[in-house]
Amino acid sequence: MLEVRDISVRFGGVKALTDVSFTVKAGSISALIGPNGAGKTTMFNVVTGFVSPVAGSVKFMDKDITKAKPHRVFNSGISRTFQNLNIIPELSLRENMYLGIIGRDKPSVLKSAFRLNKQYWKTTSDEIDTFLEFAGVQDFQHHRPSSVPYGVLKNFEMARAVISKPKLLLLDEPAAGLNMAEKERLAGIVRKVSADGITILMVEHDMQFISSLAQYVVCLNFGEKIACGTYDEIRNNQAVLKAYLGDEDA
Amino acid sequence: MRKINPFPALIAAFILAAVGLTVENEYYLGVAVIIMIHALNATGLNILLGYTGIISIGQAAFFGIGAYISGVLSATYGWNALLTFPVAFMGAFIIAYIIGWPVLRLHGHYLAMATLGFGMIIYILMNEMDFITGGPSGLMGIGDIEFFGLYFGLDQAYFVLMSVYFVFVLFMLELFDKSFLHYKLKFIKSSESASNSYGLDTVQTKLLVFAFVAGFTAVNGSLYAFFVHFISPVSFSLKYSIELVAMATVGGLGYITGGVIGAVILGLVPELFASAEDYEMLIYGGLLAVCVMFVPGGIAGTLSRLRKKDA
Repeated sequence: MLEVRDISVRFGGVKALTDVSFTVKAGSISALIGPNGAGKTTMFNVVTGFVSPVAGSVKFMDKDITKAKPHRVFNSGISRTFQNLNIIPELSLRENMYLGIIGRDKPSVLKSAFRLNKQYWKTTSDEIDTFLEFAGVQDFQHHRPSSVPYGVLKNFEMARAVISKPKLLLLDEPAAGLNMAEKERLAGIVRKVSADGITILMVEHDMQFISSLAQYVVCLNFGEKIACGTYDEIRNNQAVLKAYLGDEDA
Repeated sequence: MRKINPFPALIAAFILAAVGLTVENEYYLGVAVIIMIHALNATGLNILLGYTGIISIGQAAFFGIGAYISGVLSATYGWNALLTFPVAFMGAFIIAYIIGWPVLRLHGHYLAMATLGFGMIIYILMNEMDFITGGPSGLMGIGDIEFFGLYFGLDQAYFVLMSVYFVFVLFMLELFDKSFLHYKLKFIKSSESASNSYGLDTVQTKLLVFAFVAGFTAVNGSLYAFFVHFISPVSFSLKYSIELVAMATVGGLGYITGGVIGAVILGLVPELFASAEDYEMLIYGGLLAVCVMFVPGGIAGTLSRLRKKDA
């Protein structure tokens, strides 16, 4: 479904990514792992159009999206979450859900201002109810993000991403900063999303979280792909162990 | 879809009707017209700064562009006043679109500096292009608004015209505020990258908002020109741009009534303290400082917080 081929990114003289290739199969849950600074988030930014690669190509459902702008990437069916959440502080969680809808449907400005499409907004409101419930955050819907626990915001972000009806969902460190119970809840939501037929690619540090979810793992280090395969293959891979734990004689 | 709150427009209509019926002094009616024009300009800036997060210190330039387009077309070429309004709107819209293309890619201080520079360039052009604008000594002989046999040369008549337009705009703003555009612009304001990755074309949206507000501000400029019949560059200097920022901030950024409240308060300062004219800027600055420090969200923001607490 997603085909990344020979992607290279340079930030000035820094080689952020060098010739990275991998594919994500439709319907799967895949993970991108690697130590800090390995280029995982840069890879995400390449796929979502925030960073332009100097070489290589990204294909999504047989369409080339290498140089596409972020909003065009979204239109082709890719949504993402952010490490720093990006939930608008001055609006309630429920109002924040509209971000997932406005970009998806592009409702008419004039019709909406003069309230000629009441039926559409009624349907939308019901849809928001469904997805808030889906992520289990309906109790917090009228709160502002500042008065809601971090774990709930993480779940909320899943609801907002899924309501935009993506085909591929990119999760940037979904488990970071969560306790065990919250991680399990989030893993449950990720499984539900996957069961709904949405393909998932995530960047994650938490190996336990990955082991319970990901079917396919790609490992990066210093901007290069050092291994890929199933979780068990990766866990016993010497290059991966070296990247995470250092050399034996070090 | 959120419920429409008709009260701001109704209250404004009520106050304006009361003023129109009781005040006979033409001077005070004139002050009311000018304050309404300030209020519309400040509201336009509020949409930029309070909703979309575009800081513009060049709004006086668009106000002036509108005033001069209408003024020149009326005084020099003898156009019917009404026909000059669409020209003023389109003129400012196109100029803003062209300026905005490179400038709106900047953020924060850089955007402020760029719009400030634009405002100063327009101000210099108004002064130097005296073969069109009349230069520093101003442009005279601007006609009156006249349509369908109605004549708006007298201050009373102009006050009525302005009031009707003002209440109409307030109502349209309420419709805008309660539509999804409110969310769209606030998403762009607080995170462009999140808006982008949720399919909003932030560059295009910001450009259209900037250009539309420029056009709207230019129409206010035309209304100003046909009211005072004499315009000179002084009215469109950097000082006025900064006054608009002060009005929007004191009134309440991000609230539809913010610009209006700020314009009424700051617009009355020169009238109430006419005897202390030398200290006008001091009072201005003081009010602004007090508001920023002690009344975050401005007066409209504080009112809305108080109302929510009661409910």
